[in-house]
Amino acid sequence: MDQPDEIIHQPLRLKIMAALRALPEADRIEFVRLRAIVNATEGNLGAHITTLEKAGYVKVEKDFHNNRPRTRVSMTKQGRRSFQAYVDYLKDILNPA
Amino acid sequence: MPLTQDEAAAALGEIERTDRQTTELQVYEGAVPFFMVWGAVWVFGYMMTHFMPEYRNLFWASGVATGTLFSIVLGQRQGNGGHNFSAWRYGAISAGLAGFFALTSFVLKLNVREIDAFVPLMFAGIYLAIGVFAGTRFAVCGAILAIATAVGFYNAGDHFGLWMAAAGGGVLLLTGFWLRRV
Repeated sequence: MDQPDEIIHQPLRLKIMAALRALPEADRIEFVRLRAIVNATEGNLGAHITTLEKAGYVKVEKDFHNNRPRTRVSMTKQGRRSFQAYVDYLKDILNPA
Repeated sequence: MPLTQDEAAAALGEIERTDRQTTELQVYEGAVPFFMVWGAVWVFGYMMTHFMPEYRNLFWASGVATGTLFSIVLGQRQGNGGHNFSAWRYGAISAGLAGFFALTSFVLKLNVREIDAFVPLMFAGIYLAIGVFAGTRFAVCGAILAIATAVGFYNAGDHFGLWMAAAGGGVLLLTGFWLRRV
């Protein structure tokens, strides 16, 4: 990889992906919890999640829990692979062969 | 445009920070039901033994058994969500702690009041130790629990059981609510 993955490299999307990667595989995180971790506004976070979803990096699921709407986000396998490639790219810059 | 080394280092640092924060919040979330269950057990145990001390062993045995059973069920539910949990390990830890408390109380010849302080102080120490590795909220819980126990032991007089129901059980329940917050 000669260039960083521009979808992941954006600062807020990088935090979103890092937060999702920290979860056990196939685990989901609630939107409100994710918002607190990445310290973003609702609108801003929603827009960046849509970008990641269109790229196939995250999956968004909406349902009702205790009669309240709930949005949960998880990382797809493709997202996990792309994020790992991005991390490897960063490490290669710091430790060139 | 390729990144510089500084930019790469900053990005990796951000990933590490976010990873740590996420893991901590996930641990907090998983611990919530356990604090609620054991907070309720402590409120029940201390309160009932204060009003009916003659049934002390019965109340504590039934409370601890119920708490352990709930904890195993809760742990298994969380295990289904992909987290590691082993029912027999949890049972073994509970039995080990119960044995340790019983043996220590016997060897040190602790009276009832001292046992009622010794057990929460031990747990306060455990929470402090867990807090060092898994998140500061556990350490804060341990510190407050230790202080509340010591204050009650020296100042609550005949109402130490009631004090521990409110302060000891209360600290666990409030910690449960606190851990739920993001």
